[in-house]
Amino acid sequence: MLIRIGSILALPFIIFAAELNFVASVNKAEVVLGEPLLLTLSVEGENIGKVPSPEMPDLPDFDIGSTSTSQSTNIQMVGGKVIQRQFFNFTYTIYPRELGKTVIGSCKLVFGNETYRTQPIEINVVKASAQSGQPPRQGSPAPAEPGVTIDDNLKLLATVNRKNVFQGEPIVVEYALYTRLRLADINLAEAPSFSGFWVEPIFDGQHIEFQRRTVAGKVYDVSVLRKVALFPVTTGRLQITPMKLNVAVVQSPRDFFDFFGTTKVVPLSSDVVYIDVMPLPAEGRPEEFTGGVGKFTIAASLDTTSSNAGEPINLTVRISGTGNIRLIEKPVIPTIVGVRILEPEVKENTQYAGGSINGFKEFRFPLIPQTDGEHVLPSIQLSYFDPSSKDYHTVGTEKLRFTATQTAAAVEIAQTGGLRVVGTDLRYQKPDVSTLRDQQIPTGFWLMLLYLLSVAAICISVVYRRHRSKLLSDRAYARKLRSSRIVRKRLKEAERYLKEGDKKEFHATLSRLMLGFVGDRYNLNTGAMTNEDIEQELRRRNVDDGMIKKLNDLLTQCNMRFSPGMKYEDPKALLQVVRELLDRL
Amino acid sequence: MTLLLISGIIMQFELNPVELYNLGNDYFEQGRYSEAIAAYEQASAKLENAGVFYNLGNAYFKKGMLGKAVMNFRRAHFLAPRDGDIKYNLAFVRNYRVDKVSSVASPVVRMLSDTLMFFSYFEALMLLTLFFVLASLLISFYIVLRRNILGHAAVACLLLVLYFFIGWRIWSAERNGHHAVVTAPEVSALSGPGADYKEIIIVHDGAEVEVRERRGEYLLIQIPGGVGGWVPVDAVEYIVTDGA
Repeated sequence: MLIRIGSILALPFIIFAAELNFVASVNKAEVVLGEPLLLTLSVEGENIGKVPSPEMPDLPDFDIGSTSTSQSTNIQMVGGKVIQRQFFNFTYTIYPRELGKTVIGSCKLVFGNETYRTQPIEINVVKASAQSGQPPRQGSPAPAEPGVTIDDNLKLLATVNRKNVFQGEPIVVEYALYTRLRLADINLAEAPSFSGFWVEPIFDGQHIEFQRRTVAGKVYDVSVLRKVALFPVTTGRLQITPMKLNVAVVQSPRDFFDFFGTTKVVPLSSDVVYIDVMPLPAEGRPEEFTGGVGKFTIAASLDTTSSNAGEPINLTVRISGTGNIRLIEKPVIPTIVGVRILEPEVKENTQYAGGSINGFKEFRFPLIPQTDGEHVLPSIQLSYFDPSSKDYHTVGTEKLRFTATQTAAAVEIAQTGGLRVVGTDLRYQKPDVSTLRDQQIPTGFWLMLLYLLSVAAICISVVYRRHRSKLLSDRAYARKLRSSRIVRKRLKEAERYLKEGDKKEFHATLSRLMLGFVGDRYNLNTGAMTNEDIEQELRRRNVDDGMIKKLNDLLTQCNMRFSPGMKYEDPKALLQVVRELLDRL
Repeated sequence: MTLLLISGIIMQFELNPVELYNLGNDYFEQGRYSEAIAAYEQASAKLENAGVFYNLGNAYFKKGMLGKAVMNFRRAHFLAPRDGDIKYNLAFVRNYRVDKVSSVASPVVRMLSDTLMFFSYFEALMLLTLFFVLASLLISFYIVLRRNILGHAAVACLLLVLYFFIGWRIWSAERNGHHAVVTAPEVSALSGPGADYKEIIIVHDGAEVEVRERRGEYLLIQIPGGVGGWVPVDAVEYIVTDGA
């Protein structure tokens, strides 16, 4: 019972347990002294790349012969991901030196940062006569004993349902694995090649599923690995090369701790299969023959029975039956006057059922009416070769009718001056060029900037407009805005007069400056006011007394220019006072 | 233990777009449509040009791939809406579709859409910007100078801005990722986003649809009649050609 559990667990263990698997196995646990023993170190993992050679333990009881390495890759699609499993086999041929039990110590493999070790293998070295006497086990499939022969318990068979066929007549090839042993892993070493055949897969083993079959009194676990239908496309003797597998056979456990046992990789190969293909008889071959071999029927239909303005009508011709459906070429559509028949769109579907390939192939021909009126589609004929009766048969469809109206309307070119338009087609290619302009225009930042600037222009004009109208209507606003400009101008003027020594003009300028400024600042018409009036107005506006006095003094000083011989105060101090007043008023 | 046999010829041309385009034309003339398609496709990956899409559409049609042909003609039409050849071939190819959706618009509608879609997306965008800037300047000057003529010119510009804006918006819809073409030969639209849902309609190669929603690997599409359903993402292809 424990053994059965072991065999169930063995497969998932090897596939999923570790990213790298390192296993040692021998081809037999009991070996005759002096005979070769194959020690195989198998490394297996997903996407592991290159693997260094494993380190062998000291083998004092053995002579080491030749070594060989092999490598294979298995690509799987799991959930849309490609998983690459790599297998490396390092095979050592070793010869035992002494009789009795001996042990092959554990082998070491350093890969990445990990060190992997195999379990030691016990070997029983016997004399030549000691090997016989083990009765082969019969009956139900059971794990093989150590040293049990592989031959009859594990085989890969290729079976064909027929070996003599006509060209185009399908044969079915099945590859099946027969086993009476516990298998850990099965890998394809070489796929069979089917040159000279059209291949239609029927079954491709996604995973191994065993069924029990009894063959010659022995019960086997049988798994069909691959099943294909082959349609010979040439004649003569065709060869199907064998399928080759590497099968890892589980050796039975030696003790309780050796739960899963060890495995041994056995190469398997199916036989070469020869198929004799006869050519189809040339005599009696009808003109309508388009390569069909088998038994077929033909049917035709139109998607509509009337066409307006040159609209195409779809003619669907469906060939269905048994045989080389996919190899049948399009049937010959008889020409119809006034109708153009374009190349068809092809749809096909086949399946394997009841030992043969059934299905259909559909041709959809667009028909373009070019003249008005009723058009009749004659019977479409299909000829095929029936291999069972060894002769040709012809089948046909019923006649189909449709009407066309306003075909000329579909034609854009004017039918004038005796010009007759006979059909329409795609307009032709644009000619060769020396440059091609990328018509994709980058948009974004610069365009956005243009829009922002435009909006800004409107905003600025609105602001300007408001300023202008305020200048006209709001006297105080206008004066305030004007005074600063004029004040600056007059100050400069006064400084210039001072430099030139024209004291009269200097004072006059200062006086004008201050009166203008105060007028603008407090919205007063200072030109017509006396100093006293100004003083009063300023007091009414709550101006600081000190400032009023300073202004008064300044204006009085300036007015002195009218009294001849008057002594002026220091003009620089006067300028200072003006500045202070401008700042603080 | 599925054994995957990878086979296929990958053609790669180390050429500039112009050379690729001319090479495609050579192949087309020789009837080697697959090679022509490969060359045009690579040219169109490098730059967007109506001529490339147009010739590519023709090549796909010759290969019987209606959906791809429709899609490429629409891409060409997007870039060059006034090109008669493109419009003609698009209409021609649409006639070959299995799903005959009657889309005969009334003359008024057709004239209106022809008028609004006279300029391409990029032309409309450029002119929209130009006239917007112009209108803004005219408005600014009108505000400042108060001349009636400036006001009238500004209103005229704003009308043009409106026209280009509508044209630009119509084309934007083409670009915004809702328009798609069925490129699978035949696909069943289901009542929900999963293979287990009931079939609602069957759409064929070349059907032009609007994409309403995406859930996982399924898109909710709507055909012009208004009926819709969920189809696998890879059964349709968007008309949008760039990330915009």
